[in-house]
Amino acid sequence: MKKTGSIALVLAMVCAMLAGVVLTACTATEEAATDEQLIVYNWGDYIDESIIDSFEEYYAEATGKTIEVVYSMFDTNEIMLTNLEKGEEAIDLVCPSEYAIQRLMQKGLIKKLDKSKIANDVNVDDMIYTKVDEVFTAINVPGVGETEKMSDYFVPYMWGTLGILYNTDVVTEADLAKGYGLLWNAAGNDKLNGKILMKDSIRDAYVAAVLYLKETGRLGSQYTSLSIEDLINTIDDELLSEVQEVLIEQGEVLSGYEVDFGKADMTSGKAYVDLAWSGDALWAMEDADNLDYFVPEIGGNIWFDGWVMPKTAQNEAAAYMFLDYLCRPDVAMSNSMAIGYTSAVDKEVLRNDTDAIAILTENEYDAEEFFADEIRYPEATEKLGVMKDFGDMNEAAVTIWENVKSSNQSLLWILWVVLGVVGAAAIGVAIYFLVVKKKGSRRVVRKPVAKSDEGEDESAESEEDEASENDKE
Amino acid sequence: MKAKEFGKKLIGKVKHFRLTRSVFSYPYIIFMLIFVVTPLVIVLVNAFIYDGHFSFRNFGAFFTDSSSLSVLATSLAVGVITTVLCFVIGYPVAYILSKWSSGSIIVVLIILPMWVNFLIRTYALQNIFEGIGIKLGMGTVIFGMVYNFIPYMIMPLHTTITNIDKCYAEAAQDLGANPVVTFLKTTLPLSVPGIISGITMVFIPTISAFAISELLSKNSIMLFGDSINLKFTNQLYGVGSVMSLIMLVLVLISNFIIGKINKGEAARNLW
Repeated sequence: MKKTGSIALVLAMVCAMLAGVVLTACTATEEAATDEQLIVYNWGDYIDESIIDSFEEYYAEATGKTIEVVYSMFDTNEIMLTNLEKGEEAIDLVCPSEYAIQRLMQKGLIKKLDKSKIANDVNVDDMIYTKVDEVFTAINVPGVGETEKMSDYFVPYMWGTLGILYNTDVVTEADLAKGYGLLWNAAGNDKLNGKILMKDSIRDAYVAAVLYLKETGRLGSQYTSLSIEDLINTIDDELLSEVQEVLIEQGEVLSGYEVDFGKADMTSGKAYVDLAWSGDALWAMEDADNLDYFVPEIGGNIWFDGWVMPKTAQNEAAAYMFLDYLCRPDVAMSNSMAIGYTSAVDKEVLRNDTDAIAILTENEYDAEEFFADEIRYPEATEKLGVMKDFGDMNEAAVTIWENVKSSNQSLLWILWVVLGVVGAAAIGVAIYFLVVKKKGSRRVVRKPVAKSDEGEDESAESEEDEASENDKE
Repeated sequence: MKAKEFGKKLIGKVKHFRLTRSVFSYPYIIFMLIFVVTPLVIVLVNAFIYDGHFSFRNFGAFFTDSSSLSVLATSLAVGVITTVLCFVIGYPVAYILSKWSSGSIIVVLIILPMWVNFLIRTYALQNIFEGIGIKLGMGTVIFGMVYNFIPYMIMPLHTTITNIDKCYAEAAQDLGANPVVTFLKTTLPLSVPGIISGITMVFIPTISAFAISELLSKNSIMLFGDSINLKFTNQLYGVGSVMSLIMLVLVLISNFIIGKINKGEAARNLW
């Protein structure tokens, strides 16, 4: 039983590993008491939850049918891709980042959207569509065409930059001057050691690492002339090994890698520096006065998250209505208020919408200040590059990420501990037996009945055997 | 005549009984097939598929990747350390508790934290470490492992030691053995089954644990479980499956060794 029990335990763990990724799908198959279902798969902390309820009411009013929005969440684009690429899930809408959308398009997993069904799409900032189409010039979508435009496949939701969130009480001007070097504690501020957080996502870490290499002039000569955008999307063995080197170097000053607890650690002062997305940074800055955010001078990453519709989508009509609803200025504003990120709805549209402004003032913001904030509305200059999918190099990237994360566990130290424990145990046992033997012999001498030094054990045993035999009889 | 009929009836009843018994096992068999055998087959198939073709490349990729191998070695080392620590701490506790009349109440107190989800306990531990300013790293991970798995060591040990017939110890003492010899010659050998199940219940979950190492090192320590997790979340199903298989083989090997030792001991529990 014991044996089968432990085998079952292990099998269960293996199963759990496989099942874990499917779990989100299970929630989606729940029996609904409503007429229809809309299954939405989004980032964690990425929507104003009340919007879901108000959409359900709005949908009932508009169509006369009740709908239940089944909402599930993911942490990183990679986890989302894993779930979606299995293709067996009935998901109506997903909200990935642009490089994940590129991958989904190339794999032919998402539908081309009929923008005529999304009247409010005109509200979306044109800059986003232009920028995305500029970067992803022609995407080969299997079965559709070789020169597809991304703007036909997604409806932008939120956008922002990747930068550094820091604690103003601890971080000095000298630290800030180091740019990305702040994440490596390049200025040698003692207070920062062990208080720096890195993103637990290879894509974001890669960007920070190559830009740090550029800052410190450690890039190979063939990379120095590349633009920021080309640089963060260049991936080859040489650059990978350089990136690996600096990321391993960084291990010494890190507190750890996060995707979800960065905001909390920064506001509570457990960490002083964090590689953060602008929306998270704004959210944290509102919570604590001593935080600030910057995108280093050398440049950085600008990203766009948007809604796409998987080919397996069941409820297309409701999905279009949901997208249309999300592009309403007031809805966009409440989402923005709840999560801190910058809505993809054009700021001029927001500014001219009385409902949106009302929500803004309700949340105690000054409209002028809000729209002029450079963290919230950065200028999409050449210094900000858009990420692309790693493509075939993905596996190599995962390998260096594993190298980086396993580098700071000193195996040698562990081996010494194991040897130490085993050695101590061996010595202990040896001493123990020496003492016991001595004691034994002393006692034997004292005992008049004992036949010999060694005879005692045997006689004891034989007596025992006899006793047990007697028992049987 | 009557005897014959009675016999037939009895045989019929026995046959009928056997049938019912196997019927009862069907749901379990179906459950096992769907949730245990199928995933294993999927893992096995995935391990041999690279780019949609049958290939050994996944195995090559794993065994030539020094970081994966060092992660595996680290996990094994962490497993050994945790098991040794759990045993060193757990055995005296179990021994003392079995001597005390109030022992079983204290055992309940030891199990009590297990009613709280281990993730919550680990989060709590993380906050305590941060509160008192201990840097999260390998030390805290091992502490967390020991903390989480020690009840699995104490429980079987306590049960086994409590169930040892006191007569053996008394007999040994009557025959002139001092307490130390008594312990070494009776209690320790007789508790071997408990020790073995304790080791199994601690070592095997430790080498595959991944949430504890993530939380108590802020993702900066990577164990084998984390590594498999990373592979699967990055769509590297092939290598991930190979690693899962390796884990499975390790578990089977340790089970086999433990089973061997157990058999050897069962034949002659007393020295």
